[in-house]
Amino acid sequence: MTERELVKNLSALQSVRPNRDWVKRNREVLSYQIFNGAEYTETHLSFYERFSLISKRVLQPTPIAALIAIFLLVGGVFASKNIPADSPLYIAKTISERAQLAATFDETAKARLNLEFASQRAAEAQQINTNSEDQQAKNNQLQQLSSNFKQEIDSARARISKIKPTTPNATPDDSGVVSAQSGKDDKGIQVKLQTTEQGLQEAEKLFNAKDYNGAATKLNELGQTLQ
Amino acid sequence: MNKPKKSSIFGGEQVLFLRLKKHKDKQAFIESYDLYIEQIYRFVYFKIGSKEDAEDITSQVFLKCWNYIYEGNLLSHDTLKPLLYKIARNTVIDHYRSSKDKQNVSLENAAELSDEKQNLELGLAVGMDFQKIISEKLPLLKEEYRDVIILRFINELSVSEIAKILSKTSGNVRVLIHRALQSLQGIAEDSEDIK
Repeated sequence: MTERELVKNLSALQSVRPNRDWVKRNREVLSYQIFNGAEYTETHLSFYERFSLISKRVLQPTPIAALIAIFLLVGGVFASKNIPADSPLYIAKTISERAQLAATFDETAKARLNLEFASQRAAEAQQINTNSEDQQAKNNQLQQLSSNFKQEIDSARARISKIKPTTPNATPDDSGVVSAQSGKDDKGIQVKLQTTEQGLQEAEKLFNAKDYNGAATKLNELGQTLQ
Repeated sequence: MNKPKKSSIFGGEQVLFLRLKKHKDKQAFIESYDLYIEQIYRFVYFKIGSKEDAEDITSQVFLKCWNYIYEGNLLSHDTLKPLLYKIARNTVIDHYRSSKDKQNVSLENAAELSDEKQNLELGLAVGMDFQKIISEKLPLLKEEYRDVIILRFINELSVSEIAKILSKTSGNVRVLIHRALQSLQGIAEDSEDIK
């Protein structure tokens, strides 16, 4: 007897069933035992119970769906980086950037992203400036990119200004002892903020002077110094 | 007696189980009886080999299960089926022990006590030769092998369901199924050789 025949024969044994009369009799006995003369009060599942039941069924394939979503998101972010500003798919790049910002919660990291996106606007402007032949379309696109560039710079500026020292310094009145270190951190950060602000202003000037590559390089440098 | 209610659109087994788990709903238990009685009976029957004993044990299984639910022990479970099978396995083991004490029935002679009418039905379903193998040789298989043969190939449970019942990993159950099938095939071939 082959394995297949064996399995087929075993499966045919499903036809073995209990006697119907016994099943019925036993059901009655069981009902009597568990109800014990008490009246049955119908139970209703609450909205939460039904919801948890449905969500359990719907969300069962969640791990696989989540993996696919992460794969698509990561793939989308990388693929969208190289979309030029005059492409019909440019909107995907914008959405991907907004998603990246929304998924970032640290202000410094967000500011770094703003600088990166501003640098990309500069690079796109350079590309349009070099490649586009239609003058009117070129001007419109450059105007749009300039506006986006400014928005990113302003956002970065606003975020950088929010970055403050996290360790509060004790005041002489409170403790009577002043640390040699106190005040140094503040000064260091102030110098750093000033340098960043100067860098942003320089990048804006370069962009306005149509030195788009220079603006992109400057913003990349600023992004690296921002920690 | 109250008539059984049809299960809702949310999926019979889960709704029944939730009604039992959250509300110890007696009617839900009766509906569960309707749902599982055949497969639990079949499981017990192929382990015991006697129709009368299978009926007695199956009745006990459902009553024990209700008591278990009533005492509020259902919280650690997520479906009723594995629990019923676990209780059935333990009840069959208790039956073996008590039978051994009384020296009435043992695994080896269980086949001799099997019900004639049921054997005839079996013979019609699978042929008399295979019926003989199942009635006489299945009880000779190792306990675990017999369980997985019945659960997987007769009652057609999934590997994950069997894993829950036997408290093993799915991988272990797959290995067990493979070995059990080989073992039964060996027995079946030996029977053919003897003829």
